[in-house]
Amino acid sequence: MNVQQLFEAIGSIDDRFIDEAASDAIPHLKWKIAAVAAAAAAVITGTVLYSNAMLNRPTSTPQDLSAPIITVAPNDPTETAQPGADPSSPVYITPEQGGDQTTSPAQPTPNQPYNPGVSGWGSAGLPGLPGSGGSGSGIPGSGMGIPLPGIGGWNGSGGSDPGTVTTPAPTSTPTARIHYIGRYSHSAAGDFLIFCEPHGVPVLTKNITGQIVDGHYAATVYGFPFGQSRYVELQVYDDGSYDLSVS
Amino acid sequence: MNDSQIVQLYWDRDERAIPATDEVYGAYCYTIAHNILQSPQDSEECVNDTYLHTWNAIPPQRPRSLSAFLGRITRNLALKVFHRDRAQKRGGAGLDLVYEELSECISSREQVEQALEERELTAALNDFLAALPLKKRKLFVRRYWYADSISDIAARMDMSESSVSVALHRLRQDLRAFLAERGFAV
Repeated sequence: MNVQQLFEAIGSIDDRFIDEAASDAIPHLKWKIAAVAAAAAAVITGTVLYSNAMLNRPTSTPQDLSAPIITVAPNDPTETAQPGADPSSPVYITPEQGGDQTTSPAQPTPNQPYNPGVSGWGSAGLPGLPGSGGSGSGIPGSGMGIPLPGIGGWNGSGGSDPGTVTTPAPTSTPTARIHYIGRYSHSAAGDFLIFCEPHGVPVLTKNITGQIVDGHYAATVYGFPFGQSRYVELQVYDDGSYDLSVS
Repeated sequence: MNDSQIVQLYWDRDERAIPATDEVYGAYCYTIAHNILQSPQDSEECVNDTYLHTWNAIPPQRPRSLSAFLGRITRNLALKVFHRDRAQKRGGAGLDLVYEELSECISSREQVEQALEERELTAALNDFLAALPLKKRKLFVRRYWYADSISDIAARMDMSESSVSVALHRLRQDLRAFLAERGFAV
């Protein structure tokens, strides 16, 4: 018996001992779990965004710009604000919705995956007090209210996000969903798993060969220097074309 | 999602099995791999390979304990990478310490007893562990199954590092005597 055999034999001990030893809270493990969870969340988020982008599906809904956020009615909408007005006497203002509604939010163009921005809204200053002006904020746009002495400032303008193009516009509608975008090393087991819809889409490149098996794409990666890893992304379109990148 | 639901996803060939497994057991598998490999990149790769092996193994298998099933695959894959790396004289120093300690339980690291069946050895190990008090058993499994470091075990079990080292030393002596008693050449 050598030590490797002993260690491997220990690897085959009864499941109950393995579960038992893993059952209690592990202070030292918490940070590892947090770190891994954060990394996993980043990967999952990236994958989801990528999939949504491929489906040309917005990941957020623009706010309704027609809805005012303050409903105080003006006493006299034409009233001119006076410096030093008595704060005790009510002065009403008409909240103004900020932002250029013709440009906020930006609209996606056809066949161009898009994540529309969220419009920001300003807030009105306090009536009867030197207004500092509200400020609106969007992501990443921002607005600034107009300070008016004696009455509240105007509502800040809403910001707008021009959105971010996450992928180049495909020439046709993508039909494959990427469920695995990750690190692959040539020195690993030799298989790579990509779930792919629809079935039967052939993929062949100089670096990756494989076939669709039972609804998933099993591929073997060749040509990488031993021990080095690559990120693999597969995108398949309904016309049978595909983009497979190995970076 | 509980274990039986995750296993059922594999049986249904439902691709959601992979992210569900990762959510529940990703950190668990990563820790096992990292304890052996000491490399975040290799550990991440090992976890990904664990999911692939699990996808290929279920069905036909239906593990009684999914955590132990996944942990065992991860451990075996990590060991393969470890030995590959050690053959190339790079990385994986963590397990060398574990091997060095376990070598006390046998006569020589180089000596190979061909007649020993791993099944018999595992059965003996199960008997040895079953006879241990709970705390000592956890101590042994954390060190020699999960390959936890001494400091990690000390923190986990609220012990000093020296106490852990002493306890493990006694456990190795006990195991050596136990295996000798069972007829194993140690």
